[in-house]
Amino acid sequence: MADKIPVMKVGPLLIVSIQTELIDTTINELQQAILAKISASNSEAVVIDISSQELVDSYVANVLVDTAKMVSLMGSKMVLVGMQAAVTLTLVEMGMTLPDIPTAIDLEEGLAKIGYHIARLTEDEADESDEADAETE
Amino acid sequence: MPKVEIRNEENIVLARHEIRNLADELGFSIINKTRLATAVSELSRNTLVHGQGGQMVFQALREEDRVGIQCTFSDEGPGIENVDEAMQEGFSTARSLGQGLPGTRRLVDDFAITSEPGKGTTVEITKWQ
Repeated sequence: MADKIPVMKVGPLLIVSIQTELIDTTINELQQAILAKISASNSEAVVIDISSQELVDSYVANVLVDTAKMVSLMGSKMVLVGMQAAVTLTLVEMGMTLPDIPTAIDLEEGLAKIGYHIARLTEDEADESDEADAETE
Repeated sequence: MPKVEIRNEENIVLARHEIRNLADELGFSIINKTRLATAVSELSRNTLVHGQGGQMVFQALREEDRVGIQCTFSDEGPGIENVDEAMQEGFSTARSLGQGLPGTRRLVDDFAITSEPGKGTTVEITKWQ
């Protein structure tokens, strides 16, 4: 029943949106998948969106903390975005503070935290980009 | 009383669902529902991992001026040698138990644990809305 969570490559970044309710196996598999993909694509950072999680227990929190440490050892960064207020409060009350993991309110803020902003290319830039594409073809 | 057998990881999810549904039915706030469901997740994992499986029974408590939920986790695993020690901050026999019992106790209103080496462990929690 363990659903695989997709790890999406977007340029130098990896984006993970956890939409299913996490069980231990799923989060462990996700950790492996993230590390494998960083290794394969030399990604600068991985952003994990947990906004749909209504519950994060100490097991999942510990795996996230470990994953952040491993990602950092591989020369990349991990950002956790979208943690619900009730989840945050519960984790803090339990004594889990997720040290060393940068967090942000949503995906956009998370990307900003690691220096990325969504921007539309101007017409000139788009033309240049098309020309560059044509040259490489 | 309704009962959830805890024999595998999916059963932990089922236990959380049962409690979240009941909390919704009783009109729990989101934060109290999250606290209780998280406590249930922690304790059912203990039942599975340390108690080698067991069960959770639960019930709604309806008093004149308040409602609550009581859950009892029991296993017939190896038990805990020293319960007082296990309830201390920072005590850990396994990865997830560091915050485990003391952290879980802070999420609920009543927390009672009995354990006998070789016979098993029972934990009863109550959360009032």
